[in-house]
Amino acid sequence: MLLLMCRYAWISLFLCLVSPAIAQKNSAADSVRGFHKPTGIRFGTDLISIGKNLAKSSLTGWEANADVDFGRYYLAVDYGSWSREHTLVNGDYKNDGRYFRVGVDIDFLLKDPDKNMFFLGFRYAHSNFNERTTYQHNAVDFGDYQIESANLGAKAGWIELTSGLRVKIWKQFWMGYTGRMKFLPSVKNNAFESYEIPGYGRTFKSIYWGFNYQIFYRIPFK
Amino acid sequence: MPVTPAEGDITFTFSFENRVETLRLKYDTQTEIISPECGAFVNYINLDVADTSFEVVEILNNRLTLNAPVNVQIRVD
Repeated sequence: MLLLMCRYAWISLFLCLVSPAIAQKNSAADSVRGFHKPTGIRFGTDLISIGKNLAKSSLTGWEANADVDFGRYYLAVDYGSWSREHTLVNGDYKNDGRYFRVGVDIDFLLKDPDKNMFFLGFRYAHSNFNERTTYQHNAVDFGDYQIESANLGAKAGWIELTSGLRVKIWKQFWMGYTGRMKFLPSVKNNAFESYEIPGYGRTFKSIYWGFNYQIFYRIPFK
Repeated sequence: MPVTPAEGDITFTFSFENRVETLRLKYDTQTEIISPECGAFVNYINLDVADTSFEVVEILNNRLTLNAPVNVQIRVD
């Protein structure tokens, strides 16, 4: 079932990528659909991460975003930090790490003069992180032990399908959201089975949904 | 099977029919976290025979679990 969903997601993405190219062939005169020289770069940040920090959530971090337009195609890069603590019934667990995503967004509001956009896209994401846990373990016939275990220098990767909006709110400022379907996590760890990947979530979940509410500042190229 | 996470091996001594035989098993430990509610626990994996005086010892299941049927089979002539 999961495999089928992933397959449909990939087919949808493939159609999204291919259909503009076909349309471009059919109407070469339609210059808004092709690749163009970039006109500006947008830098942004995730307001939800900031809100979680202020609310003293168990998850703290930040995320910076940037995109550059090449006509209707946007090269998008995200970089973030994630740190989370969990209290376990027999101990505690902490992780911290940095992650990045790189990919392409395809704008479907082709002729919007304000560079508002509704987009579909994809990302490859990678995370470098550390995990630590300390817990009590009762070994039959040997009694209680306090065990400390750490995954230092663990690495993980995953794929995302994205969709969202960007709307100009004032002068060089845009706001918007990005919804993301994260899937195909793969993790390389050492001392213990990774519990949570910074930027992704629980390792054993094969699909995760993510959401960012972002504000951007655009610097036009001259 | 009684094992300890503090060591990577354990030695069993069997006394029977005026014989004394030993079996030393080695294993690795790996931490796994299920959820905050279930907590963390130790997996005992890669169970293998390190040394033995028995003629035939067979590892049937190299992962120790609470509900594993048989991990080690010893044949005594």
